[in-house]
Amino acid sequence: MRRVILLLALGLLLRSPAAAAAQDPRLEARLDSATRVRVEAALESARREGLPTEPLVQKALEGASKGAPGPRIVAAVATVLADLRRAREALGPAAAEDDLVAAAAALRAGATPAMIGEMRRVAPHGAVAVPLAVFTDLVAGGMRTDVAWRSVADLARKGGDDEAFLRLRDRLEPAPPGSAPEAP
Amino acid sequence: MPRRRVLCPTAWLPIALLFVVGITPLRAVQFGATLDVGTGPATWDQVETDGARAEGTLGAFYRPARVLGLQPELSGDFGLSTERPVRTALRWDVMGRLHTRGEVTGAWLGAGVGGVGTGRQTAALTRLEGGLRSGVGPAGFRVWLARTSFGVRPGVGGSFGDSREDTLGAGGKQVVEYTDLGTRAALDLGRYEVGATLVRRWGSAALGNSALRSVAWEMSAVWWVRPSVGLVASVGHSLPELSLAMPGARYRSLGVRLALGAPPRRGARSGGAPPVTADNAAGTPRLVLATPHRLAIVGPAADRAEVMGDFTDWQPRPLVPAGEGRWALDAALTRGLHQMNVRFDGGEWVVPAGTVAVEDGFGGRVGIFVVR
Repeated sequence: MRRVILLLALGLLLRSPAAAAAQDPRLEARLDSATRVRVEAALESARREGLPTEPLVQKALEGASKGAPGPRIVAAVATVLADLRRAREALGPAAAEDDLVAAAAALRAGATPAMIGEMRRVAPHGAVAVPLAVFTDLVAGGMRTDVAWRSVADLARKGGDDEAFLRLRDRLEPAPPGSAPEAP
Repeated sequence: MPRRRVLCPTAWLPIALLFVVGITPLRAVQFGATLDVGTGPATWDQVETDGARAEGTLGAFYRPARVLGLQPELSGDFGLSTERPVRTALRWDVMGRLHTRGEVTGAWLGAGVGGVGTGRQTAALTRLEGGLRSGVGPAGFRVWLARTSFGVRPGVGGSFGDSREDTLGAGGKQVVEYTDLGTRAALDLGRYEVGATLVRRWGSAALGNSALRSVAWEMSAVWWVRPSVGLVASVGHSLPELSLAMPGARYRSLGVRLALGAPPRRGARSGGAPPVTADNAAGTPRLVLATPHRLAIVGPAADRAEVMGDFTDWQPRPLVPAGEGRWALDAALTRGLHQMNVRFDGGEWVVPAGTVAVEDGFGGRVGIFVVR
């Protein structure tokens, strides 16, 4: 009986956020224990919901490197989790991890959930990672959000593959990373 | 014959730039300098004499803020060379330039004054130059045209070139003028740079002597063993130094390049090429390359630069000078979206242009970019 209780207790311990935090040595090394516990709780939520956890880990590490206080790190991680949830809502429960991350970035770059949902409907095979990445990159290059979106969505409707999206980016982006820039 | 002016009107440009410099807020300016020291064997043209060449060059630049969309630059170069058994020579020049765009693309126009001397013999020069730059990925190209006028004291220049009498001006000064058309291609490989320079010279009096060489070339490689310390190897064939009656030479050279206070200026010893302008005019960093193996950022003049992002687990990583104002990181990046910040000289973490700047949740911003 004592052995059963011990195993149950051990099982509960392993499921606790504190124990889970120890699974990622990056967090253990760079976050204080209180912050780490709360971040790991967010990671656990993401796991339960089938959302990718690496963006959350990265946000926590970013906060640590920028000297943010623990509560702020926790809040930032929660925001990323919310972004991923919004992306999931727009893309549906079967969205791949790459698609979710790209959609979250596109949302931060100015896309709306409706745009994301539309892209999922029109993109070949529903794979939105590359189209959304190209959209985000075009916005990064200074293109207006609506113009960038129209260009990417039009190509998606025509059934463009990943290479076609990258060519679109090359054609529209005047100074993309990898080519000569214009000094500001 | 009409008297020919040695100090041409183009000298107004450096003076105008000095005025601009004087009214520029200090925070907007950039300073930088490069020290090159090298030595190696040489075989002199005409006399076919083997010898040795040692050369040291200190170049510095100063850039105030942009004016009317143009980037002014004031640069100075001072060089000392010993070319046994020919002679020892000093050179200096001050150039003013206006750049239309950045360091990789665009055009520039410049003018300046300077001098060369070997002690008793001296020559003053004026120079007008213009050029175009372009870049594709890690490769950079430039072509330039430069008109140089030397006022040479009598007797200088006569030892290996026959100058025409009509180049003698009033006061006994001799004017030697020539035009250089140069082109340079360089490949920036992070800690390594390779480049080739070709210069064709026309029009000087002494070069009317067909025996004198009119084409120079150089191939060079730089290994940046430290962010500000590079080892330079070069091989080439130089043009004659008409103002000092110095012949051209085939040479090989090994040397050291020190970047002082700014990213190094590629081409500082590029066979007569005008000093390369490592400028990012407004001092705002820009992501210019994002591949699965490398990031490159054009940044302001700085002693050190760092990057951190999701590809470094947000640990600061040093960027290494990559020439022409670029800073680079060789790292494995997965294709797709990434986030980053950069900083210079330990300052604030900033978002480089060329990325999507979004709130980072910590009171700052982070840049999103795509690796493909």
